[in-house]
Amino acid sequence: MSGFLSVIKERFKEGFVTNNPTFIQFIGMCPTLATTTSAKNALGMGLAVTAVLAFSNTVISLLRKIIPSQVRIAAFIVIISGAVTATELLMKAFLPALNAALGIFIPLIVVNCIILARAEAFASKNKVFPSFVDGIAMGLGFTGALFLIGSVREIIGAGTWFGMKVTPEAYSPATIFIMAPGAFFTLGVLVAITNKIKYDVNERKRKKEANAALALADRAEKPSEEETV
Amino acid sequence: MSTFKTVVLPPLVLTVICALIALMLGFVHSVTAAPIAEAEERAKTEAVYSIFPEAAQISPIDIPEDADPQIKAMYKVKSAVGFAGYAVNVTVGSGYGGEINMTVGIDTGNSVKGLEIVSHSETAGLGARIDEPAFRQGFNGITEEAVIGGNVDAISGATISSKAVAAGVNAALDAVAPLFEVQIPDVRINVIKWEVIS
Repeated sequence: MSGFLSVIKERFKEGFVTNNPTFIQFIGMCPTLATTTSAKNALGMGLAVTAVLAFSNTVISLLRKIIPSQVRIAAFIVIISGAVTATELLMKAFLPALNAALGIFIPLIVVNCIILARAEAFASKNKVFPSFVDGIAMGLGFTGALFLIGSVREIIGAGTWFGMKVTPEAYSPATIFIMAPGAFFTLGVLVAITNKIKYDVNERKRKKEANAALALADRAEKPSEEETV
Repeated sequence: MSTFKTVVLPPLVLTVICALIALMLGFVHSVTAAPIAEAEERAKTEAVYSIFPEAAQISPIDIPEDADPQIKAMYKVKSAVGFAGYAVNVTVGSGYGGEINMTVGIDTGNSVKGLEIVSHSETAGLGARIDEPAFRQGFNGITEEAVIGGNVDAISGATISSKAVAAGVNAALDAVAPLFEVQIPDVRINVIKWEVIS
């Protein structure tokens, strides 16, 4: 059991923080910019991608020893587009409003870099359970990023969140945030913030390691003295 | 590697994978075909019920041969007391972001009763405001022709979307006009008794 839990913990840490598809890997930018016009659309898109990722990672991992290397990419694409088409049909049948809102971007999940990237980088080289969890983790990490961007754009650009008005009457929404330029503004600022956080975390780690190395060197020189930090 | 492994196996594996995926999709299609058709019908008739809350029966009628190709469906609406009007489902391609599908309700006086936007791809915050009641109600009561900037206010910053909706409304009015001409009004014939006065 602990093996499963550690796999889950590791995959989720990668998907949400250390290897986040949006803020660290910078892949899947096109749907990120296009579907984050509202928190609801962003969430819907993110969850659709997560579903496709889970399916394609699992199937590709199951078949990884059978698919010859020469037809690897072609096979991945067949599996991924099958998953996307199935998702689109299921959404049209049971979630028609969300399907209408996301429109063309559902079929475009096929060319979302994240899915092929995870297939190539992870699912084709790892066992089924880790691959499945990786699909979920990367998908949810992507969803989190989308949801953040979508919320910011909707609140600033329309004054609402999930359709409910959350800004005071006096605030006149900056519609540009709902349009294409707003996507770039929001993404740029959020990436700057995450980069700063990443930099600070790395700095702190580097300083800690440098201090530890220094303390070790001190102890080596004066073994009889008490340890001071 | 043998010839089999390098030349024959890869296409074979790919073919099998394609076949399996196709099978999976066939299954999903069979499960979803009915709900999809139902959802599309419901979307069209839901709009009719919001325009005609008193509607008791909505019956599709044939679209005339020479009608505008933008007309996708026409319905005769009956309420509990009788004929209530027509509902026309129109798809205009002149929206800013693509097609706009709308249902126009026309009452017994051949004027617009209401307008529902069924689907669109307009920009949120701008063209998407065609969905707002304030804009749609601007078309109520129009009998001849909807003119943006004339008898209907445009949405500021979304002229193209507004004009597209007006075009749809006008197409609906044109499609329904001949139907009203055919209606023969009830005529009461009064019989006057003549008496010969000698």
